[in-house]
Amino acid sequence: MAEVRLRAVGKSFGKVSVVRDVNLHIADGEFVVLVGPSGCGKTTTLRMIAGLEEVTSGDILIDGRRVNDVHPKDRDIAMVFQSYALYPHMTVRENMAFGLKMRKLPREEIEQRVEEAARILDLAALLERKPRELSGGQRQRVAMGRAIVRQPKVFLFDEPLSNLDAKLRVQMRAEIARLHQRLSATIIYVTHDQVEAMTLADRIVVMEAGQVQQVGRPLEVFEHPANRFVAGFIGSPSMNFLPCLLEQGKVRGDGFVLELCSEHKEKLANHSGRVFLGLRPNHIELKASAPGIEAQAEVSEPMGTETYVHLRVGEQLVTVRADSPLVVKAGEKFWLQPDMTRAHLFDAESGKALL
Amino acid sequence: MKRTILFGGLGFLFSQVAGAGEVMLWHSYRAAEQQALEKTVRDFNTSHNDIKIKTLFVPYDAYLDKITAAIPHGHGPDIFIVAHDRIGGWADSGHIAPIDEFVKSAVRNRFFQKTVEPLIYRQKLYGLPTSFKSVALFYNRLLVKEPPADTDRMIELALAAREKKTSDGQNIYGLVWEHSDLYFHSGFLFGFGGRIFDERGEPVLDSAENAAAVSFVYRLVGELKLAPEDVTSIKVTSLFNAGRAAMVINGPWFRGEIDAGRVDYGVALLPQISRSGRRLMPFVGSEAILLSARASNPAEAYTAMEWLTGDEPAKVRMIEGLQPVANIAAYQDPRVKNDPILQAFREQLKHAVPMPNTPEMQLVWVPMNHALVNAITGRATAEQALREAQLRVSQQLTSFREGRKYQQQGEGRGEFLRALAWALVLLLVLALATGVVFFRRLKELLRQAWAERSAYAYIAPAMLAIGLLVFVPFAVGVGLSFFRHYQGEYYFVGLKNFIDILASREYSVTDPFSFYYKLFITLVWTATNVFIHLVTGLGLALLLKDPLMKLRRLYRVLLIIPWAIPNYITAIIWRGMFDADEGVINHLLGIEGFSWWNNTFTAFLANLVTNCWLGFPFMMVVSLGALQSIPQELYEAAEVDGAGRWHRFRHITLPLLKPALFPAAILGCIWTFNMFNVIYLVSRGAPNGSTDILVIEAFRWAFERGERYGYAAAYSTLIFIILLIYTLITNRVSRATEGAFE
Repeated sequence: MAEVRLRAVGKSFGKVSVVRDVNLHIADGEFVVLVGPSGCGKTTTLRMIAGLEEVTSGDILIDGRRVNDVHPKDRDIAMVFQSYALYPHMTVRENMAFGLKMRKLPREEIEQRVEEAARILDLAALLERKPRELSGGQRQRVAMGRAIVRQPKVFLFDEPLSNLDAKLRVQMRAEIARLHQRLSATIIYVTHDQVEAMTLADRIVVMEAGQVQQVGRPLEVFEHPANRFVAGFIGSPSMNFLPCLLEQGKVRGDGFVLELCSEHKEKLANHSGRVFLGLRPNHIELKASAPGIEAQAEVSEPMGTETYVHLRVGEQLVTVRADSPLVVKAGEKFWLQPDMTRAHLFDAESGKALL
Repeated sequence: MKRTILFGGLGFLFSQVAGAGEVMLWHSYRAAEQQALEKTVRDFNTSHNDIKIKTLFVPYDAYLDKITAAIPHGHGPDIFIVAHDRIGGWADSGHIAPIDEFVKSAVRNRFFQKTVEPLIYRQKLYGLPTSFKSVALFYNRLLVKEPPADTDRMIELALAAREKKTSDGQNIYGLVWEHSDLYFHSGFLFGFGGRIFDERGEPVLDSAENAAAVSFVYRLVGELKLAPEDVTSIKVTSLFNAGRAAMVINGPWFRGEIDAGRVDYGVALLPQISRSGRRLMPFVGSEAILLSARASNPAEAYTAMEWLTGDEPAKVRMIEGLQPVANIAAYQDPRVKNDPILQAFREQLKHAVPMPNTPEMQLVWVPMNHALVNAITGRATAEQALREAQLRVSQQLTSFREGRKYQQQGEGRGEFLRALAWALVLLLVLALATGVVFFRRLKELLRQAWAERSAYAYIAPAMLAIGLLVFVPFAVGVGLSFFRHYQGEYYFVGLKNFIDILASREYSVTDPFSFYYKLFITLVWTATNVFIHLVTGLGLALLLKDPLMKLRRLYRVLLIIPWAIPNYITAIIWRGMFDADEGVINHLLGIEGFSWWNNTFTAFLANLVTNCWLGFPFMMVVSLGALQSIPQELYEAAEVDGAGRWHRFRHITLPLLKPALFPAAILGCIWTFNMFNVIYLVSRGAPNGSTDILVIEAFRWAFERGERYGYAAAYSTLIFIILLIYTLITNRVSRATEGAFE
C-alpha cells in the first residue's frame, strides 16, 4: 500500500488542455474519490495515474517514485474499468488469474489468491463460468476480484457502478466500502455521482473543466464549499442560488431583503457587491403565512420520507425540503424562512465563497 | 450443273415459304483473313438472290469446343471453316456429313491433291479446302541476307545473329519458334525420318529417328541457346517484331502479325538437314469448309461451300487475306506470281506431310509436347522423354478404344436421356414416398409454408435461379459420372469411372496423373496457401490498424487492388513476370535464363506466390474488421495486468479473432482447393502435369484426353464429396468456437 502524489499534473491533446495543474496528495490507505460532471478531466487524471495516458506536464509519484515514464504494469496498480473489461473467452478463474500468470507467479500462489478473492467477493460458485454467463453485478465483482488478486499498491476504479441499475448500485457501494475496510487499500475512485462520492470517500476531489475545485472530507466539502460550482454539485437536491446585492450586512434580492446572521455580518463588514446567496433546500422553512419571502409553488415531489417543493420567487426557482406528508397544490402561496446561519455567499463574478 | 439448277430452283421456292435460303458460316479468322473472307461472302450474297450467307466469328480458343457442343443441339453452323485434323472424330460422332454426293470431279481437281487428302476419312470426303497451312522459314533481312539452304548454314547464321544486339541494346535470338509444340516440331520429326503412327495406326513415338530429331532440337535450344527455353506464340511475334529474332519457323498466319513497317522479312523453304540431305518436312494442314450433319439445307450449304472455294474468291483470299489457298489456278494470277512469300509456301507444300485426321491423333499432342519440354529443358534425354510419351499415348489409346468397344456394342443411343428420365422418376417416387411416410409432418410443413407464402413468393425467383443454375447442372454432372462418353454418345458404365479413379487403374498411385497424387498436391496447395494468406492478411491488418500510420487509407486501397483485378489477368501477368528470359523476377534476382517451370517445386512456388498475392486481401479485410471490433479496454486491462505486446496478441487478439477468422479460413480452403485459374495459367501444370490440382485434372480429362466427359464428371463428383465432408467437419468444429463475445 502506498501514497500517491500528483504535482502540477496537466494533460493536453494538442492545443486542447483537458487537465490543468492538479495537485493531490493521497495518503496510504486513503479512499479518495474524484468527482465531477462529464468532461471535467477526472477519468483522464485517473488514466494518467494508471499510465494509460501520457502526462503532458507535472509529475506523478507512487510511493515516492516518479512514475511518469513507467509502464502501467510496473506501477503496481490495479484498475477496475467502467465496462469491466473482462476477457470474454476466459472463465472467471482465468480472468482473475491472468495478471498473476503474466507476472509468472507460481501456480499454487495464483490459485490461493484467486480462491481468496473469490471468497471475499462471493464468487466461489462462479469460477468456471464465462463472463457472458454472469449478471452485471457478478461481472463487476469479477472485475474487482481481478484487481484484488494483484495485491497492488493502489486500486483505481473508473466509474465502476455506472452500468448497474439503481438498486444494485446501492448494494455494490456497500461492497466496495467493505472491501476498503478489509484490505485497507489505497483507493482512487472516479465517479460523476456525488452520492457515491459522499458515501464512500475519505476525501473528495471535486473537479470541473480540468481543474481541481476543492479537496476535503465529504462533510467538509458539503458544509463549506469553496466555490459556487462545488456548492451546486455536492448535495442532492442541489443548493438554491439567488442573485442578490450585498451591502451593509443585508442581501437584497428579487423581491426580498434578508438580514445576515451576526457572525456573517462581522465577517463581511466591508464587503459589498453582487453575490449569489446559497441556501440548501433543507435550510429553508416553508410557512403558510408571512413573514418570509413570498413564493408560489409550482411542482412538488413527494419522496415518501420528505417532500421537495419547487417554488417561484420572482424569476428564480427555489427548491425547499418539507416534512411529509405535505400536500401542495400548484399555484399555492407560501412564505419561505431561510436559516441564515446556514447561508452561503458566493461572489457573483469569481464564484468563490465569501464565508 | 443440272443438279445445282434444280436444287437452286427448289431452294428459291422454299426460301419464300420456309424463310430458309440462309446459310450460317462459322469461322475464327482475324485481321486480313477475316476481311478477305467477309468480302467473298458479300460477293456471294450480291450475286445470289436465293441463298444468303451469314457469318459468325468465334474466337479460336473456344472455337472447337463450341462446334462440338453446338452442332448436336441444332444451334451450330451449317458450314464452318476449320483445320482438318478433327474430321475423323467429328465424322465418327456424327457432327459432319460427307459431301461426296454433291461434289463433281471438276471441282475436286481445282485443288492441290495434298490439300484434299486430309479431308478424306474412311474413304468419304468431308469438305472442300480453302487454304493450306504449313510452317516455313521467316527471316529478318537485316540479320540474314540469304536464307540458309541447309541446317549447318542455318546454325551458322543463327550463331552470328546471336552476337549482335538491337539498336536499344537488347540481345538477339538466332532461331525462334514454338519448339515445344509438336505442330512446329513436325518439320524436324519428319525430316529426320520419324513417324507418329505406323501402318497399322499404332503410335511409334519412341523410334530412333524421332529421338534423333528431338536431340537435334535440344542441341539448338538447350546447348546453343538459339531460342529461349520458354516460348509462346505471342513471344515469337513480339521478338520478331522487335528485331530480336533472326529467323522464325511459323505459318502463313504469321504474316498478319508481323509489323511490316519495322521488320524487313522474307519467307523461304525450311532447309535440308546437312547430314542426310533430307528436307525438313512439316505438317501441312488443310483448312476447309466442312458441312454440318445438322445443316437445315445441305444442298444450299454445299452451294455456298463450293462457291466460296471457287478460284475467284480464292484469289481474293490470297491477295487480300494473304492466305495460301488450295486452288491451283490462283497461283497463276500475275499478282500472285510475283509474291515470293506465297510462292514459298506453295513450294513448301511439296515438302510437307498431311496431318492425320484420325481421332487417335488428338491423343498424341499433349504427351508429345510434354516430351519435347522435358527433352529440351534437359530434364530427360530425348529417348527417355519419347519413351514416356509413347507410354502415355498407348495408355490413352487403350482407354480410348475401350470406348469404341461400347460403341460397337451399340447400347449407346439416347441412353443418357433415358437414364436422366429414370432418375427423375426415381426422385419423384422417393419424394412421394417421403411424403407418405412423414405425412403429418409434411402437412404441418405445407401448412406453415402456405401461411408464409408471401415470404416464399419473395424468395421464389432466387430459389428458381439457384435451382436452374446450381442444382440442375449439379444433378446432371453427377448423373454423367455413371456414363462413358465416346464420340458423341453416352454409354452406361455404372460405378466403373469411380472405381477406375479410386483404384488408380490407369496410373500407379505415385504417378503424377493418379487421383491420389493429385489429391495430395491439392491438399498441400490448399494448406500452404491458406496458411500464408492468414498470416500475411493478419499481419498486415495488425500493421494497418495502428492509428499512427498516417497513410492508412492509402495503404488500404493499394492492398485491396490485388483482390479487385480479375484473377485470370493477374495469373497471366505473373506468368509473364516469371518468364525465364524476359521476366522481371528473374531479372531482379539475377537469375536470367532460369526456368521456373522445369521443376515441380519451383513451379509450385510460382503458383503459390501468385495465389498469395491474390488471396491475402480477403484475409486482411476480415482481420481488420474483426480487429476493430475488439474493445480497446480489453487491451488496457491487459496492459495493467502486465501483458506485453506479444502476450496481448496471444491472449486477447488471437482468441477474439477466431470467430471471424475461422469462417474465413474455411471459405479460403474451399476456394483454394478449387483454384483453377492460377495453376492453369501460371505453371500450366508444368512440369508434366505435376502441379495440376484435382479440378484441373478433371478439366483435362474432359477436354484434352479424348472427350472423357463421364470420367471428368466422376472426378468432379469426387471433389464435391471431399469438400462436402470437409465442410461438415468444420461446421462441427466451428460451432464449438461460436459466441466468444457476448
